[in-house]
Amino acid sequence: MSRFIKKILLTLLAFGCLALVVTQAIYSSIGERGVLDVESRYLITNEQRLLESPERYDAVFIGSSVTFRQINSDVFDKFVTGSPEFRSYNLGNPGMYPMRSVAYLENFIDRAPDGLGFIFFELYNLDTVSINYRSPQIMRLMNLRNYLDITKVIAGSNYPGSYKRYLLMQYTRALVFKSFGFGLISYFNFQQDLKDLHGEWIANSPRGFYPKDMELEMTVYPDNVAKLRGIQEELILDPAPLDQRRQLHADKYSRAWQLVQSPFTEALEELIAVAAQKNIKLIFIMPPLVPETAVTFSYPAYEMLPDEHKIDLSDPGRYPELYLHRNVFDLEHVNSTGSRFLSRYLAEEFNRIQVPEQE
Amino acid sequence: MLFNSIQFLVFLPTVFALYWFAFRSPLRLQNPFVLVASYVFYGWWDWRFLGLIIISTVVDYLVGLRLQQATRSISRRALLITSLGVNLGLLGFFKYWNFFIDSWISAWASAGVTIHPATIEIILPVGISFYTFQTLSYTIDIYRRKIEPTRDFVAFAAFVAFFPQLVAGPIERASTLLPQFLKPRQFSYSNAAEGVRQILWGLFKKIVIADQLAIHVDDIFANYESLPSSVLILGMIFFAFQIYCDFSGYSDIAIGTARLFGFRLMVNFYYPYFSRNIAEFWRRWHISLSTWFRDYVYIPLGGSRVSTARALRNVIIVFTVSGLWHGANWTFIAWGMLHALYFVPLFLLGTNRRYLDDAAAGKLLPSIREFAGIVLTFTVTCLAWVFFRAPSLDQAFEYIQRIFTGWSAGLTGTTEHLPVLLLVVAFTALEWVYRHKEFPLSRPSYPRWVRYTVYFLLTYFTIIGSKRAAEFIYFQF
Repeated sequence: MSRFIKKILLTLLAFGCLALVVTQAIYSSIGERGVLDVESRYLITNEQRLLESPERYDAVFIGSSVTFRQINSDVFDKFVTGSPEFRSYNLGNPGMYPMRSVAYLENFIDRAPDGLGFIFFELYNLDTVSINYRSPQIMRLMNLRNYLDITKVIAGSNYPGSYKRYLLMQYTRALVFKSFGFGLISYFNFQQDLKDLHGEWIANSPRGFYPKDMELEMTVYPDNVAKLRGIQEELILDPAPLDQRRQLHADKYSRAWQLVQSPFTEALEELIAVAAQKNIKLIFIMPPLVPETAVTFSYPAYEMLPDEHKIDLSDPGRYPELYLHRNVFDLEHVNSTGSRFLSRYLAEEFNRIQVPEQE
Repeated sequence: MLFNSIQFLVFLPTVFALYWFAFRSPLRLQNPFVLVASYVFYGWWDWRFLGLIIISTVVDYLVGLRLQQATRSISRRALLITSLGVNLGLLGFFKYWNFFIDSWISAWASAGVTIHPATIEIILPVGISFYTFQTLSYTIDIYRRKIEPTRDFVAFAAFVAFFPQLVAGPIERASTLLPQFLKPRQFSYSNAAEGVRQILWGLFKKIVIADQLAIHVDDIFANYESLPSSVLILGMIFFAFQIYCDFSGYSDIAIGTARLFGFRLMVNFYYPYFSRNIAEFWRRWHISLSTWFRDYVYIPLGGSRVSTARALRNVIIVFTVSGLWHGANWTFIAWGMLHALYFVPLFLLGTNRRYLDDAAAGKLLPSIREFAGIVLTFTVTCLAWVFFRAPSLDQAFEYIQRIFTGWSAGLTGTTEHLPVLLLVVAFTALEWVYRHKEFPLSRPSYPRWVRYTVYFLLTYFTIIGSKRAAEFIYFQF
């Protein structure tokens, strides 16, 4: 019996080491860019459309669904002053989160189209990992260096201790899963439904903007209709959480945040410098409606950024329209009407930070 | 708890270590430990439904003891009816209530009468069809005086709830499994090693083949209205292998796990897709269920030792009930009746017992006749699987109709399914080569480095093929 257990343990150890080596070899052969490409089919197609466009673009928006669903380039461009020909493009991609957005941004700066002067970058949540620690998005970008950075970010964050431990455990699991190749096949998996949906997004969002209520009207996939309708009905049936969300954002200005220089804030500052070398100004956006965990993570980082590189759209006192039921689709996204307000406010704030000396 | 989950990855080694180290002897410690572990395993899904298993266990334990004491045939029959009533009553209520209500409403609706009975939401308890049949076999065998009842309640409860085969079989007979609970188990290195190999093979089939095929099958069946015939045929073949690898994979893990604890469970699948006619298919597919129906339904109805008309009736009843056992839907009943239709000509011609050996026994390749038989059997089996997989009879018929009418697009849309088709071909080739073994990795004779390379590759593919633990298809039955 002990011979059996010893043999099983030794075999598992040997297989584990071998799996680690083989997996690393596979990752090396795919390359970092390849890893991003495989994951972000919609984002890469959308970016390709931007890069191949004969139009000259002055600004792009990078972020998650918060960007993809809420920033209307047409409205934004209309309210930008000082440049009547100003054109922007939305590169928002659902499911993005800071680690992935930062990796994408680093990559994008290298191949940014000529003439691009501004990149707007959404600040969001570290917490995405808690719902999909095994998701390809997390696992693909997780390596030992990222993991060590993340642990420092978590340690320096304003999260309560129990939540820090929880996040650390999730990221540790992601590192283990990534290192041994758990779910590696799904990197290359055939997902026709996702392909079809991404195709629909591309077709229906000429400049990358696609609010959820518009998708609900235009999508031809019954599953998608049911999903969107379900999300929408949650807030209709129980509107109280929106009021709580408004209160959360109103209260954040009076909370005592612990401001810590972490690998995340350092990365943001480095990115400002890297972009500046290419004559691109990087501007960070604090979006409205985001949940508590996102506020706890992003707002202290936002506070530490230089004033001319940040815009806060989350203040319910200044932007009450962004928290009204009639302008909101679900708890994290405004609808088409709300996006017109949001895009206009963003343009006005952009105008303001562009000419601070005149104020 | 799923076999392909992180929880089971922790549960199995823990229970294994405690079983052999802390509860190794005497027997009075081993069986209670197996029982507690089995209840934890089942309760992990939903502890409230443990009550149903306990009811079945207590009823059949008491009925078994009373049956031994009862001498009058009327009392014995009353006891048997009690057991049948309780077990089938629970099964009928939890599994078939809504089906019968809906069918009743539909029947009246077709006559122009609308009725609105009070309906209730019923959750189907995982594995109820499996453990119900297992406990019934105990009572019926005692009634037939084939076995003696046990007085050891814990051993009997452990037999009913034995975690490796509790939720999806194999459906064991009391005559073979219960005696194993009544004697001490000894650890056997070779048996445990064989168990680990079988678990590995089962996980590979489930995670690498069934779960990968599921992605393609779900997509094809969801969009069959817009797909060409070539893709619909692939969808049908893929589902045949998905359900085979899913269910036989579960059985392999169950049998392998039981081996680790010193138990021997029956073989449940024996290369069914190499069958040369449909009768042989049913001797190789879900063997524990088909033999259960043979012994407890077909033979009591008279089997084949009655007039041809009655024998035919018996065949049709068994296949129809077998379909209904799989689920409360007309599609399953149609699936069962279709198999009856395939079986009847063989039965009438007296060729249903023709192939009792392996195809191409002792040879590498089958004869042309055998090959034709295998292809034909596989084809009709695949057509029947469409009914099993489709959500409604209308959709099943439409799917099959489109297979015959959608050839104008040629092979359009098949290329994205090619990698997984190659996987299926490679898997079939491997099974063909090792079809004389219980499972391909069983008792390997090749050099150690070859063996360990194969084990590593299977393990690695299982790791990289894993995603969030997907349920086994047969959990719903």
